[in-house]
Amino acid sequence: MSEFKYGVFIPKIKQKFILNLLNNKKRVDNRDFIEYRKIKIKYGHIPNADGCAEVQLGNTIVIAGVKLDLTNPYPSEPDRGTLIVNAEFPPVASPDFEPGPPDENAIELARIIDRGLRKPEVVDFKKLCIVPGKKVYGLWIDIYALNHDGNLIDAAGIATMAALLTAKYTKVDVSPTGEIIRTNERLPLEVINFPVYITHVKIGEHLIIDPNLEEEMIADCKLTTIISNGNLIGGIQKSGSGALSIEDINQALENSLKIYPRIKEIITSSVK
Amino acid sequence: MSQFKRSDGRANDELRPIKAEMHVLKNADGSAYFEMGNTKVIAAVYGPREYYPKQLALPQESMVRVRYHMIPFSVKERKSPALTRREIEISKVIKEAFGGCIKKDLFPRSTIDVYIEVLNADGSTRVASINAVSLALVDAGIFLYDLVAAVSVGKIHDQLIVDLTGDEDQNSEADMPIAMMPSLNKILLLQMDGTLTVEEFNNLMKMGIQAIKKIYEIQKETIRSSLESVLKMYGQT
Amino acid sequence: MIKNKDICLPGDFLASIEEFFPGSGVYEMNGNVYASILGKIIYDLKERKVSVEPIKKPSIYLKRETTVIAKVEHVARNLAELKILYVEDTKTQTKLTAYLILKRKSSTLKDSNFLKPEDYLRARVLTTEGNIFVSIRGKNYGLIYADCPICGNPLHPLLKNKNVLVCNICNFKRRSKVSLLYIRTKS
Repeated sequence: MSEFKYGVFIPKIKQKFILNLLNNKKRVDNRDFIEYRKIKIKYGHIPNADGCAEVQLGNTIVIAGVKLDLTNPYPSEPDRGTLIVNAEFPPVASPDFEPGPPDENAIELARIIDRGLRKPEVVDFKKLCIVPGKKVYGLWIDIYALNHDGNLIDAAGIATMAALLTAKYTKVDVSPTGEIIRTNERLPLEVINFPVYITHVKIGEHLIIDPNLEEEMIADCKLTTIISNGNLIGGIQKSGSGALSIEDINQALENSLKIYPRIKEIITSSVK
Repeated sequence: MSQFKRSDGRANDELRPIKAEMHVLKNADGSAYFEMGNTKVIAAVYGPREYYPKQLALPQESMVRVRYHMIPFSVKERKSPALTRREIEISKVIKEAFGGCIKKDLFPRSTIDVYIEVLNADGSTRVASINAVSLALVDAGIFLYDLVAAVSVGKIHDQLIVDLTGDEDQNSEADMPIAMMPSLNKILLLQMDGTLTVEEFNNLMKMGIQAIKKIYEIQKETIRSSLESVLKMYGQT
Repeated sequence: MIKNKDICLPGDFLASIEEFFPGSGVYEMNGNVYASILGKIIYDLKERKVSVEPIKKPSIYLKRETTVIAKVEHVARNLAELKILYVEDTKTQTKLTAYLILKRKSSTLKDSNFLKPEDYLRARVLTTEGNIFVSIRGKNYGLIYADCPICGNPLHPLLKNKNVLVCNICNFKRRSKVSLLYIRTKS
């Protein structure tokens, strides 16, 4: 319930320094306003997961794992697989993270990732149905922050998409008597929509993409836009207790649409 | 235009009937009741009051805490009274929406606690909550930059609509709650779920702002009409 | 044209900064002055200042020189922590913490019995920024009620020296700063 921001305390003098740099169209790490830090994606180093990816966005490290398992469908959607996204900020990632159940920031992140995957469906959930109303595949996505240096949402989004692109699941057969038999065949998960999460922060009058921890700490508010398939908005979330004008939002959408192909290219080209 | 008609026969940009009342609870410093169709919300505000433990209070501004909760019988199937992940997220976005509207620098080291109970849920509960809290904050005498008015807009069967009901929300292609400070033209809450093109987004935004202006007038009217009883209560004429 | 004493709501435009300076209950943004609370508009034409007098003040809203009634919670070497129970004559819902600085230099205050937890004080507010500090200087300020720490019966000030409190039952005596408004109970 508390008004709690992660990260170390940023002294006033540093805040002024960052703001002055922004006024001169510069950023602390010499990036452009709409430029991402270096993205590195690592795959398959966790063989027990059905799909996994570790993303380094500058110094931010996020790991996402995908597991598919048999489960019961929701009563309202008997012929569709289920999707559960969970995120945790464990204390390994930052001195300010505390052990325990996910706090509001982790829950918010998980729900933002979930939003991008659910409505423009990232995979065909109807294909994940085995016996309608009885058994379906459940798609579990778990996101762990390993090092927090700002912009966990975008890193988590990249990690999730990378993990889904490489995910493989065990094929099951249904015998004529209705029994479910696991086969040894591994099927790739077919990704039909490609959401990319792009976060802007507003500092003073400036909108910048991919904030590092210092920029995120002094930001008035954050706006995460989810772009899917290049020209569609797949979700929006404003967080942080500041106010945005309509022009800011339009500007952010324009930037996001511009940057979408670049990020998608980085993710798809990294998959062998 | 397609054959789509809304189940309650409303026009696409029409709001459900709104009922608002201030100072409905006596113990709270400020309270309000807000009704949009079948969505009924009650909000209570305590504070500014001292924050405990004291060493965690913010030395320069007051803290805002929000708890959004749906009572178990507010939805069709009984909901567990414990806070769900959805409620925690909504509490967070409402808290952050009001963080930009409350003048926090006046009472350092204090906390303003907002408690929202959704009595009956029929879509757009978070925007009804925001409208209720806005009135409750005025009732509590808290310094604000502006009133906050909120509305949800969405897309269903390729039609852009305002003020979604629960059924519409379930079947919608996109829904987007917006909260803003109407006289300053600043957006405090914006969430979007579903898919929209940029053009549809811009049109929805315009429809939303128009609806917000209507709600803003209703809120002002509510405050003015409750003013007489408030003046009597505090011994001023 | 907005008139004096009109009711305004938060966010209402009051004046531009060229016309009036912002006073209390208002704020300035982009050269305009807006109201920030439900209240009555007051235009001060002499000082060219516009302010809003709140209809309902938050309970935490304390001004300097306000009289409060407080209960002593803890007493340290030269600082006492109080809980404010009444502001002027109204009971407060939220109990604020206030501090009273004890100057041990003056002879009357040297007594270790000067202030004890559970004493009731009438005090006036010195500062409201950050922590609230109060003072008990003045005839009407000081202890207004205290119990005997030994037998629990109320203490009474002596007639010839009002700053000495005595227990009628066990003859316990303590020196303190007693208000003229000390509550005398029958016992």
